[in-house]
Amino acid sequence: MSTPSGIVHVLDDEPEIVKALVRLLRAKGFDVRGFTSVRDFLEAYRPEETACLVLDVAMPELDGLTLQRRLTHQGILIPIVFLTGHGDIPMSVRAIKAGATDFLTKPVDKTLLLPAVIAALQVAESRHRTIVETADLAARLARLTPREREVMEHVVSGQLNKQIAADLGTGEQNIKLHRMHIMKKMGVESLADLVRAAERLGLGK
Amino acid sequence: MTTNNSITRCFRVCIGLLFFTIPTLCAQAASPKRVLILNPFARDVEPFNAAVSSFRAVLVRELGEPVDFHEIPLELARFTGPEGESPLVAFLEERLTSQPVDLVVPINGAGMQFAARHRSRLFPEAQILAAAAEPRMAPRILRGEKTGQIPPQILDAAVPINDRRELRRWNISEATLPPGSITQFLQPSFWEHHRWQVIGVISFGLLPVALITGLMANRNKQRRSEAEATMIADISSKFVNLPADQVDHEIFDAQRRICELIEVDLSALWQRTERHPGSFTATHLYSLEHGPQLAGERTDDDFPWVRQEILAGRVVAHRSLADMPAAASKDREAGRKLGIKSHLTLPLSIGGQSPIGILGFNTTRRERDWPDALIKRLQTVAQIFANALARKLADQSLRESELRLGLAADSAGAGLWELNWVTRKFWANERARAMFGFSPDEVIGLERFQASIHPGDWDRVWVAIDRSVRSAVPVEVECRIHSGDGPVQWIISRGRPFFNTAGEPERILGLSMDVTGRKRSEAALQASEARLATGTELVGLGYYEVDNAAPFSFVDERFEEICGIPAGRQEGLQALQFWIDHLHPDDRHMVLGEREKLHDGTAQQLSIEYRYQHPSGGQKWIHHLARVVERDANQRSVRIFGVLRDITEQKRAELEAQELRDNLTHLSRVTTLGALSSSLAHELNQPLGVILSNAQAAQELLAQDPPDLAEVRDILDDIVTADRRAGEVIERLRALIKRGQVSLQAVPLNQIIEDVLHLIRVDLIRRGVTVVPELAADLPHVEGDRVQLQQVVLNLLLNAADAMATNGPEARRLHLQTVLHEGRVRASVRDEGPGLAEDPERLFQPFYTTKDQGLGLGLAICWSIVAAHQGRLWAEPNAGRGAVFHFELPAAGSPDSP
Repeated sequence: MSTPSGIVHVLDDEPEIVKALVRLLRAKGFDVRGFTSVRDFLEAYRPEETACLVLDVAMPELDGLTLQRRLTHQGILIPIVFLTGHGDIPMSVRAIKAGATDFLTKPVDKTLLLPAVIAALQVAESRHRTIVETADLAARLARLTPREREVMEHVVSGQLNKQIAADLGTGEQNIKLHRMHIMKKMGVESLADLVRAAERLGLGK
Repeated sequence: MTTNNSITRCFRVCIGLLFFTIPTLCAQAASPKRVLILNPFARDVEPFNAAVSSFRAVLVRELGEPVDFHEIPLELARFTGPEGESPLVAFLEERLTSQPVDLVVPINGAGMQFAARHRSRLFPEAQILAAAAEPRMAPRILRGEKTGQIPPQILDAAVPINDRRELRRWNISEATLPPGSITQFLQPSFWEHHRWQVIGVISFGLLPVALITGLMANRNKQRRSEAEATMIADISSKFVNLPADQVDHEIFDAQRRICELIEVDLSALWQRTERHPGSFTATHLYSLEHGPQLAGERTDDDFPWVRQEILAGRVVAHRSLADMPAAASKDREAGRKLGIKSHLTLPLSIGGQSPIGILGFNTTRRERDWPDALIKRLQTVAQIFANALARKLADQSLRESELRLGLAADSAGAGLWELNWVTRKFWANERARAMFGFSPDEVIGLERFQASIHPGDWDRVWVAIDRSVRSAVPVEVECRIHSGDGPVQWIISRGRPFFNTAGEPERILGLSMDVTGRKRSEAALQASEARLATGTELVGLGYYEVDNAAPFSFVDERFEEICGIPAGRQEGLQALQFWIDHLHPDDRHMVLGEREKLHDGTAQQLSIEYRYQHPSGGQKWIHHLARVVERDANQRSVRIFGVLRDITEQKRAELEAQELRDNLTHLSRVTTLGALSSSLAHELNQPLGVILSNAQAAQELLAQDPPDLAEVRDILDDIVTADRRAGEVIERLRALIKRGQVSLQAVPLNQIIEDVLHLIRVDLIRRGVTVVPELAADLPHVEGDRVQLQQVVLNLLLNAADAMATNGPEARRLHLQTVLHEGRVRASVRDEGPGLAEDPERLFQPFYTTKDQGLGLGLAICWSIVAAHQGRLWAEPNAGRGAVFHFELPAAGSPDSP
């Protein structure tokens, strides 16, 4: 398969490990950046970029799981591939539950590492895409007039035109008209899509 | 008797007077007068012849009687001196005795002198008239007129004397007298002419008076002489048995009586004193006026000449100081200062010995003579004094001697006794009586003495006494005293026999001392020695003594056994040398070093264990205790007692136990390490991961075209480095597991703690434990085994982490503190776990565990490790929550460190 785009950040407190992993991944054609401290990483990270993080679990400064939590709280949904010096089931379960993409033990063989990185990048990409799409939808929503907003909410709740007209105190024809504008502004062609878009935006619940 | 003598004397006087008177009366009847003419020259010297002839003529004419003239030419020029004249004088004497002369007429001065010289021999009764004198004197002289008596002594001066009044009567001018004449004739008087008649009358008249007076005077003299003799006899008797303490008083009294009786102002008695041994000091001064005087410090140094005379045994007697010879100028001066006029000084001597003193009598008011009789009497007194003083001195010496003896005996607690061999009776002093149980007054005969001695000892005592007397050897015997119901008393007696001049035993003089105390001490000592011997035997101790002063050493049988000293070797310090030679070479230095510390005073006691090579028993372990009993002034040991104990078996058991302990420790260490699996895995997996990733990167690079060989080279370098690191980790682990000898070094505890923290970093992270270190800077090193101390720290940290396993994430803090506390290094591990469930002491007991999979040995082993490091490990509840474990170790170099 072709190398997916995206940056691979490698973060480990031991420089030798970083060096070795960076070498390996770069040799494989990834765009790799290596860090030995959390701060360096946070400084370099751009949320708009598609990126994944290869992270050592046991670091004296800040253990990996804590970092993961922190990143999550900050809204940074970067997919993480955890590396650990020793296998520990509870820890790995915790990590996955918290959103890690994968959990590997050192010494890590490339046959395990590469797929994990690729998967992580793919996840990053898909997340990225989702974010972009949602942003687009949010922009479109913003273009709706307040009346149109109102109508939309009723529409996505499954009400007939007739009912909506009655609720809002206006004619059915108006409603049909609004509905047409909404569809156009929101860029959807079917009621189902509109509902999905509304869901995505977090409306109507 | 005396009265008879007086009468006889009177009678003689009377008769004498009579006899004297009668012939002189008769002497008036005439026979021709005889005149002797002394011609100093030879016969027929012309001028003199004429003079003589003229003289003769005048004389005959004037006298009118026949006169016999005898002319004697003396020819004095022939004689060289008076001695030369003697034949002539003898001849003349012979002639003149038979034919006495009435008048002597020397021709000139020489003749006059001759006549004067020999008057007493030749013509004592005749008158001498110089030829040059008035010739008409001659006939009148012959007729019986006297020119006067010439006092006998003046004639001795060989100078003719003339009476001036006579010369005037005869109209003789002094110028005509021979040269050298002295004019001093007495006026003839009625008394001169008729002396004898008068005397006769008076004497007859006065005879009775004279008798009486003579009698009375004699009686006075007799009386005085009697008084003197009585006094001396009295004094003598007084001094006969005079007690020594009264001597001085009596001497003064005697001096007083003598002074009063013989009318002398001062009497002094001089003796030698200790103060001035070279001279005599006045010890008894009696003054008639003032009585007994304090003698003061007057010595006879002022009277050297007198002293010299006295020491020669001579009596010194002078009427006045001027009579003393020239050599006594100093004495004279001294005497004059004291106002002494007459003095008599007698030596005080006993027998024929050198004078022991001086007795002097002085007058200060009048001069007087010292008649021989008086001197003799006073010499008797001097003798008496000398004897008394000598006796007093002897008495004093005796008393002092007795006193000394008494004191010596007293201070020694000795009783003095004397057995009179003749009477077989004892004299004993107070203490001896008390000692033997005699009452203060009873007479002690042999039976009484025997009764006081313990029956079992009597034979021995008697044999000793008997042998002493027979063979003139001293007595020395110890015996028991039979004092009825009291406890047995031991007495030691020592005595010496004395024999009389015939060699027969006279007495035994001796002293006795109570040695009960000593005997008891001896018995106690024997008992004590027996106990010691039994004790050491029971315990299996080998006992020894060394005396450096003697020098000697004593080792008992067990010592010999333990050290394998062959029997029959010589005594003494050779045993010591044997012991030294057989010390194990590895321990010898230590043993001798410790021994030296004991000798030089650095240490008071010795307690060491060492290996000893028994000649036949192989290697032994010996426990050696020794102590210094006596030190000299430099604190060097003089006497040492010590014991050895064979502890070979014990030592073996100890070593086995130690081995078991080591095994256990090792086991525990291994077990602990097991608990570190995650950490270990991590430690090793790091380098392995590096190697793997690097190698795989290299593979990729090499697959490219062209391969980046430079990069590949770097990769390979990194791989090698990582591999080495892996090796180190394994090495460290191996060291940790290895069962090595405990090596004591000065190790920094902080470093050890940090090493351990590094080791278990991953574990702690995995458990979510945060370490809060508070390690004191400048913490002194502790002396210990690094590995063992790591084990302790490791154990405590893991325990703390385990305790907090169930805490929430923010309550998993592990506080780690090191601090210097009162000279000891203290480390504290504090957790926030549930705290101590049990009595803290139980925690450290083996097989106590709160873990499912624990052996329960960890803390027990830690405790014993810390204890072996002379430290302490203990637990306390943490203020707040949890528990704190402390351990303390002495700082390296402090006296407590192992």
